[in-house]
Amino acid sequence: MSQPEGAFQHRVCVYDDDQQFLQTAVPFLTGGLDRGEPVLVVTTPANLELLGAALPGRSGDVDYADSAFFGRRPPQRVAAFYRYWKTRGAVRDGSQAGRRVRILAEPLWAGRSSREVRAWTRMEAALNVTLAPTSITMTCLYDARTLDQDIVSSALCTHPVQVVGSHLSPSVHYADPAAFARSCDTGALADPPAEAAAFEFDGDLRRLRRFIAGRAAAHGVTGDRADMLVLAVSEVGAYLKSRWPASAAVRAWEQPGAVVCDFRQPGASISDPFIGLRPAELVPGDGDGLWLTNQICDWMEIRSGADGCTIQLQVPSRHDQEMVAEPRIRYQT
Amino acid sequence: MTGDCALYDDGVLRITATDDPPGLAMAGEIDESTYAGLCSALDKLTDSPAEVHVSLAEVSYCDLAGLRAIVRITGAESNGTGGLSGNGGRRVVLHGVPLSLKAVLRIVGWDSIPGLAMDQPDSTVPPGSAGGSGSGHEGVVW
Repeated sequence: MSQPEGAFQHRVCVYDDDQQFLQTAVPFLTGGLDRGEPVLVVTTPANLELLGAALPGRSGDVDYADSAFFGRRPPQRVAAFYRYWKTRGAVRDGSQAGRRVRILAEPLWAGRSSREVRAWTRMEAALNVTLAPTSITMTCLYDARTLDQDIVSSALCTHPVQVVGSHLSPSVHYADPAAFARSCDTGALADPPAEAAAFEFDGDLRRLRRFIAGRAAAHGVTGDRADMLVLAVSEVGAYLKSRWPASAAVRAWEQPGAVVCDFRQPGASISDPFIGLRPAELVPGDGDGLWLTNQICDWMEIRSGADGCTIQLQVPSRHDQEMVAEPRIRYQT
Repeated sequence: MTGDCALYDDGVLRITATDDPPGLAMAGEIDESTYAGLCSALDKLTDSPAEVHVSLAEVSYCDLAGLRAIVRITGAESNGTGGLSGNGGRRVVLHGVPLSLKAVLRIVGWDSIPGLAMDQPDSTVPPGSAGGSGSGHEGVVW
């Protein structure tokens, strides 16, 4: 293939029936097992069962996860892939390059809002950049029986290589990942409602934290959840402060299902569409703080325009019963 | 801890050296404004014993950069191939880690750094006890 060994390899397989699914998935997985590579399958329960039956005697060597829970949201999914590579592919005690790992991945699309579909599609583009330092070979499955044609078409734009069975071919529709991601970011973010609480962030992070802690309490978000919101907001403030001297306008409000915090930084522009998606490491990297924010919040969306940039965060409101029953799920990576 | 020596105190963050166990106790807020003070206090640990204890029980806020600085006194570095090496060989025991910072350590994967340990204070809610008692948002397990 055109990609050098050691680079992230990202392939797409569009399948029409179970047989086609297995024709691509099985040789991909057994090929990895034969080479001693860690192998992970992240797909639907139905396809997990299919594969279990199709890999007699070998399914015990395959790591697996239900796609619904291996990174609940796109930033967590990126982190989950990255962590799998780190823990299963890495060599701990030497300077050798880590092992390649194989991941068969099938995102879930059913029931998603158009905003979520855009976020997951955007993630597929982002993987080409954010996982570039890893030695992951990833094959992504798309079920043409159930998916909208738009989702399948986008997949051909976000994966440089198509695979059918064991045959690889360049995807002629592959688009520059940054350009593709920017094309997903064209929708305007909601303007703060008139009743939103307002705060002028002049660089004093302690005051910013007091403000958002107060808003969290006012909206009934308390305890550790409030602490996490404060962290998420303060990291955004630190990022903006480190780059732009002007004060930012901060607003917070509640909408159905979410507490929203909105930063408007005049004169600012964030050109990197993948800021906040590269997993943080022990060595500091650009946008680490925003990565943490992205892990904590349900949404972190960024828009840059003529009058500056907007960063909008959402966390679940106090009414979210999942956070009461299974609080860790949203934060598992 | 009476008699412990304050290594840093700017009214926002106070760091004191502790003798028994040997290490540091921190109180207040850790962000970019107190980062230099934090690092200078951590630097003073370089010739300290192989095991260091850091109390975060009184830390009301700590950003990612501050947490990284604390974690790195283990000597751990990312080895560039994705793995974590603990070649520095120092054992670091964190005490009184607030639940939100435990969550951050888990999210970023630093909870599994070789040489890093956390005590299990009674502030930790036993597994399975969260959320099921109708106690609202108290004692959320991350």
